[in-house]
Amino acid sequence: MDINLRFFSRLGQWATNLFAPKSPLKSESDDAQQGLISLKTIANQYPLQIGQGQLNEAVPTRPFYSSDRFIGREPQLKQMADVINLWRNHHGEISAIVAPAGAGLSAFLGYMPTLLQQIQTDIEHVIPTNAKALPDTWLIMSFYQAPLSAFAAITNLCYCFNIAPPPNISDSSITDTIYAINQQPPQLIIIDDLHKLMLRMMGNNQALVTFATIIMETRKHHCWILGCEKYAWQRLSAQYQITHFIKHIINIDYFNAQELASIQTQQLVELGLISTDYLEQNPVEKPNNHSTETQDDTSATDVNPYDEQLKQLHSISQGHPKLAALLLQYSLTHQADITSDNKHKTDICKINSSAIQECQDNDLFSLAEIYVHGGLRVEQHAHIFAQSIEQSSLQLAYLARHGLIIAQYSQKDFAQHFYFITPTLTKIIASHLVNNNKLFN
Amino acid sequence: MDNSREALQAFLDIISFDRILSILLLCLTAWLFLVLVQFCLNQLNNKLPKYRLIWNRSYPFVRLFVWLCVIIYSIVGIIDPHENLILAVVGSISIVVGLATQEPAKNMIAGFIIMLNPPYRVGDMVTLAGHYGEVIKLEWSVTWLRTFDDNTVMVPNAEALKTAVSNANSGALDEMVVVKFSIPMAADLQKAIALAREATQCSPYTFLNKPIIVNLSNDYSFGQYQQIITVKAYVMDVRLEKKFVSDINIRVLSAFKNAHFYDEQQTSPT
Repeated sequence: MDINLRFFSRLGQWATNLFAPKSPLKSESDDAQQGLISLKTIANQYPLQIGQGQLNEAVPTRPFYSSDRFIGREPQLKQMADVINLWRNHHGEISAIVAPAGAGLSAFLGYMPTLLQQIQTDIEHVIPTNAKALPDTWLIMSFYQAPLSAFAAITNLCYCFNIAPPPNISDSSITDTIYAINQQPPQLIIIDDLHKLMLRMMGNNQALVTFATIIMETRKHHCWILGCEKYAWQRLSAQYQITHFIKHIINIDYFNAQELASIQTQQLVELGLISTDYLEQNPVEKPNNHSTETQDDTSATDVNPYDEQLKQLHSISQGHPKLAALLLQYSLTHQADITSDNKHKTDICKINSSAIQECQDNDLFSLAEIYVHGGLRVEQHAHIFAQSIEQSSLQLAYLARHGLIIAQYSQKDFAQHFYFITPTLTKIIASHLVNNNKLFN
Repeated sequence: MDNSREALQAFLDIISFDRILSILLLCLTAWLFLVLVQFCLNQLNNKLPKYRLIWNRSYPFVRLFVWLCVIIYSIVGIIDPHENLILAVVGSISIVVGLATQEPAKNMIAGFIIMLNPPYRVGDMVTLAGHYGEVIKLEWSVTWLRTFDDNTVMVPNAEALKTAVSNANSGALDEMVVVKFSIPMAADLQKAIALAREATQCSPYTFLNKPIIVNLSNDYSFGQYQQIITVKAYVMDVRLEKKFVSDINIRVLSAFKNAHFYDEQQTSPT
């Protein structure tokens, strides 16, 4: 029996219209009063989107690579220390740290100097062996744009070592570059955002192969650590078999409930809502603090008054630290008077993700490419989708208007506007793209 | 005479108003249940399009099961006829229906076989009775295809068992697409293969989890030898097949033109 659902779909539309709010223009505060926050509102909280004077009201900003308030990740830090020690013991191999966008990969890489200090301290307490010393210099960097030729790849790598790049490409350019790099004093080189080196444009294939060759040939002398986004890593693995060349792969995921609670407790302390006593209760904080401090029995048994909110935060943000920070601050600011006594009873705003549900297939394809590339310029988007720059510009502007991506505008040329996924929405957007068959695990 | 009267009375008892009403109510309930199931499956399709083939494929089984249950319960639970009457009615109906509906019955049996041992499922891209398209509905007696020209084609199920069926994706969302390009013999072979591979890789519709294969062969046509580059790549979603073919053509041909593969051919006398 064939079933015609037209009547039911109309019935569904009628029911939706009946129960939908009558007011066509809904404000942020209306949503907040209903315990909701839209994707657009979340995007508007990003520092680029608001005036400089309001920066302090948004998510607190810190230096990009900083070891401040580093929380958790003990197994990964141990793996990292092992990798560096292997390199010191003449078993140098390329290592990669793979994490989903927004899980704190850059923060992890920013913690490397502290880790190196710890390794140095450990070295000083052991009997000297024939192991290499730790490198005097270390470099942490992220490429601004992907190379589209072997020459561009060589040039970029030469700049890492302050070597003059060859004036033009020749048969011996790669060999000469490898030789020159191996003549430099040993260095620890951390490349963040490896996915920014991969671009779906002609020429990038050869550039990546050249890049990989030089890194492979210098891995014994220099310690290379690469940081890459999870889905971009999947593409690199499938198309370039990158896992064949990289021996140590360290995986990082979003924070678990306990780790996220530690981060948010710190935020609550900064907002002046709870005392610093609650910070000392949490065992996941201060990973480098090996001393066992005896805590006051009474403070140890105190329950954080925001415990319920912290659980809600983990459930809604799914462990995304930036999103959790934003949700906490927004919920406290918009749902209750922050100075009132019952502020710890405030529910955390839930996310209204209807904007992404409305996206068409071509929008989702655009989002997937922007996500995997870590951002795209208008001209790159036009090239990838084989369409005009004007079409790309309009499509990206549409996505930006819904808060799914954020624009960095170029003053000179609209084709150079740079669009990237709203950092607080990476998890939500990636999940939607996976469900819609646009990203693959 | 008494026996005839008893038989007539028994038959009249069967078609009593209560029983007919009960059967109608049962059918209505089953229909509403199927509507609900299809509504839920559509919602799941919207929420998780990645798994749309699984949801769509389950519906024909649910429908078959529900209607079989309705028929069996109507006969055994509601009508509950005498054994002799069942045999007499079934025998008579079988002869009449068998003669009158030979083709539909054949299609229904074929549909049942297709459900049990499916050569294709809902969502597959198949060539069936000369038509290529996506299976959008699998019914007892017919299969519905939607072609890339947006035509809906109804193919009797018996046809599927009688002829060869070509299935492009066999239950997966991705599907291999083959595109061929001709280049002059003088063109640099290795460069052509590398360009074709990279251009295909650059398409946003290419399913990168599976390999891109580029093969080379040659052909003699229009009085000259040509090299044939065959690109085999997977598209992310079967519905994007034609778009993908078009995209690969644009990219690979642009790359070949930029590499001046066709310059000599255009200027040389034929």
